[in-house]
Amino acid sequence: MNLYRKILMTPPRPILLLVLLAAAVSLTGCNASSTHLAYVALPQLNAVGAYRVNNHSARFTVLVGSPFPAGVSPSAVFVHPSNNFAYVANQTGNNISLFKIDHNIGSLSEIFPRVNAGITPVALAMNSDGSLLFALNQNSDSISVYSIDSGSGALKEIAGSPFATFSNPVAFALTKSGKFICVANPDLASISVYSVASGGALHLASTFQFDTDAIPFALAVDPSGKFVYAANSNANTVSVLAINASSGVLTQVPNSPFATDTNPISLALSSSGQFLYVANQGSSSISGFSVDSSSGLLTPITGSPFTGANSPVLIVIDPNGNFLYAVSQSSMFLTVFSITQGTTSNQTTSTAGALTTTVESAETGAAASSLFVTTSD
Amino acid sequence: MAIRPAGSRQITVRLFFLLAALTLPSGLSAQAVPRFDVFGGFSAMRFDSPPIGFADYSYLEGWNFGADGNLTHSWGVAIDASGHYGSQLNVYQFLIGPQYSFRREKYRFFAHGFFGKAQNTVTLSEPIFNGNIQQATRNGFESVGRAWGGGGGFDWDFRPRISIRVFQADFLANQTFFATQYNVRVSTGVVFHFGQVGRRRTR
Repeated sequence: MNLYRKILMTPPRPILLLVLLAAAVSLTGCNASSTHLAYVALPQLNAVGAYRVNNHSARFTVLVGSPFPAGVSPSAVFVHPSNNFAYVANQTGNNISLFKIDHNIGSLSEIFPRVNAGITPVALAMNSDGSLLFALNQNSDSISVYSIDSGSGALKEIAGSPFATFSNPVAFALTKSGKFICVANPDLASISVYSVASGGALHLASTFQFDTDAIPFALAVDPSGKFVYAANSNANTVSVLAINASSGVLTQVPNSPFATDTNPISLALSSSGQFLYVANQGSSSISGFSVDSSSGLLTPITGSPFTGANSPVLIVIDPNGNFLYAVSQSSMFLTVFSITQGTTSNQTTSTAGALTTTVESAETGAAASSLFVTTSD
Repeated sequence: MAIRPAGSRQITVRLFFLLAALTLPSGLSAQAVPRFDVFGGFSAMRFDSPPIGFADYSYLEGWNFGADGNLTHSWGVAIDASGHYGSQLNVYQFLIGPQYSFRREKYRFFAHGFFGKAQNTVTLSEPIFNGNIQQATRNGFESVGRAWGGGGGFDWDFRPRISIRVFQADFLANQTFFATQYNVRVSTGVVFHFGQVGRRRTR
């Protein structure tokens, strides 16, 4: 019974207690997984939904306080490269909202006053250093250009803005260098290219006229700035156009356009430019292509088109290139696809870039018109 | 009893006696068991904020008050209230549950289970000014939900009516903001004893 007595009679040693306390405190040392933020414009709610997304699992967590009030019928959201500010185009309010992003949470707090845009701003773009914001005004046929105060995020419309475009522009894309901005003109079956001066002034550089029945509805520019991709919704094709780096003249590459599924309406390029994805609204599928970086030639990825998205109207690739997020027009859910990486030993390069549905999804609460994902924490 | 110097049997024997010590009716002295214990002190919490959108856990500091009503030598009811504060989070918890105490002459270990309510508030933004004009307001969101969990601690009898709570550690779940947060709370402070349940049995 010596041991029994020893256990019962020995006073607890302070060092043991300190160990216990240290163990408890050590529980506080664990870190959460790395994440990024996602913002969706919700026109029906006059708000912006906000999510924190796990980089590894793509699990969406609704930020406390989301959705955050915005202007009337927000159509597009764009986050400044500093991740300090977000800009939202309010297509019925005809203005731009500036939001401050909370660093800990990612929540949005609007800073008034809103700045005026043209009529029906439907899309936003920003140059890579975050000094200029571009707003595409669909119903006033123009692009508004704003300089951005790096400290406050405040917008100031530059002299000469807005700059006229052709009739009814619906989409635009800025090259990574910020030298050219391409605008889709579906009414004219053309893509116009504007050169961007250092101060942000726009000048028409060239116009590419499709000689087929292609009508561009969405545009994407590859990271190298060599090619622009156009989703031709009525022709069920995607066109690849080479950009002349000095003049901005567009030239269709050989074999372009490439067949997609029905009603391609949104494009997403991987950050490396290796893969191009096309959302086919009419067939509820996503076409995937591998991209030849020198010629721009598109090759369908094995298994493409991929199903699992219900009438997708918007697709975005996560900042690490591991997942693709698809927003549907009819449903209030965002679907998450996993992108097969081609680097593991048991996968051949032919399956690289293939999409697989995951169990993850996010409820948006209303139809979303724009989705923007930030860089990782 | 001969104890082997090492091995699983030795560990098993030690665990057996430790378990016996914790579960058998105890009392080696004639020390009285107080009717009520009242605790107050400092507390720290790791709040599980990622489920509500934060990038990482939040480390909060605050207070912890509690009171025990001892029904028998070992069993009682504990009520517990705590408040923890950070730059963007305020966390309040109001809990009640059964508590078991293992008492010795100069100290006691205790373990308890809790359920109750949590009232949590998130502050989303600082005031934003343009010159002297405030352009955006500080936004706060509050959520009240269920709370449950359990833990235990150790009290050292400093004086007949005063003990030092060397530590109390609890694992507490909150169901607020449409999500569940799993939090760790550590507290320390002073315990005051009132009344008397009876006298412990002596061996």
